[in-house]
Amino acid sequence: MVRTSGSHPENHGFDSHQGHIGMEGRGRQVLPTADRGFPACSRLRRQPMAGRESLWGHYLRYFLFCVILVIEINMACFLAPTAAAIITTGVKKRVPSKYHLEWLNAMLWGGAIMLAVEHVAHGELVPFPPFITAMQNPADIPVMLSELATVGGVMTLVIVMVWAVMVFAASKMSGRSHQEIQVAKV
Amino acid sequence: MWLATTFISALIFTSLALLFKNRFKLGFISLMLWGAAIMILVDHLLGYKGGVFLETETNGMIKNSTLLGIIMLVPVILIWLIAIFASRIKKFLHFLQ
Repeated sequence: MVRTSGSHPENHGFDSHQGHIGMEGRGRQVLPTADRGFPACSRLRRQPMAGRESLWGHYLRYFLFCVILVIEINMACFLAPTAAAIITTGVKKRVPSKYHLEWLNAMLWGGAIMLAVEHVAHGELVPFPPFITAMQNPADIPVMLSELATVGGVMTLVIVMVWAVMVFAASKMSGRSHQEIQVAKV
Repeated sequence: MWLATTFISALIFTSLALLFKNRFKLGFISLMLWGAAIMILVDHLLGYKGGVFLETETNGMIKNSTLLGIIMLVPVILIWLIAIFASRIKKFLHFLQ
């Protein structure tokens, strides 16, 4: 029996005709590229940069970027950990080394990259706009957003929890070894 | 089946990291693989509605799920090799100075 990723085939198919999108209907069908100009992010990227930007223009651009980022976080499950990885990479130098943010970074990037490959293999990611095949049918977007945001959010949350446990354990272990050194000195 | 391949590879690289402590950046690739394994596990658990948990075939471009699992490892291993190479170059430049 031919199946898609991690689920029962009847329940997790991407089926635009029935208005149902499974989060794991990878590659079941590739829809025609009817609405290529749909994502706002691709339109914004094509806009030419102004020679002199005002401060408000800069803020507006930043705000739009944040809005698009939030939208894209919900587009596919792997984009939530990707966004989290970008954020943690950005703030890595500002966080004290005792929190071992590099561990969280490695886990998030590793998972995001491998899931991206899986999505490409299943035909969910395509190299042309709107890049995610499920986005080609606007009627399916709300269902897709709810399902994929849930999966992506849970993935990121679990990784953050694992990292927190690791940091806690490491701090306990280092504290214990420090106490042992102190006792040995005395 | 890519869940199994990711878990197995994570276990192998973690064992190697414990064997060769602080060498070859094995801890880095182990963390990447564990992160991927956890994410794929969450994906499988949330999408599971009965039936076989680990499938052997998919409907994507790559039909064999084990092969897909192996191909998914390729970019992570490439990043790891690039990280090793970059650190070696950094050490070499530091040595030259």
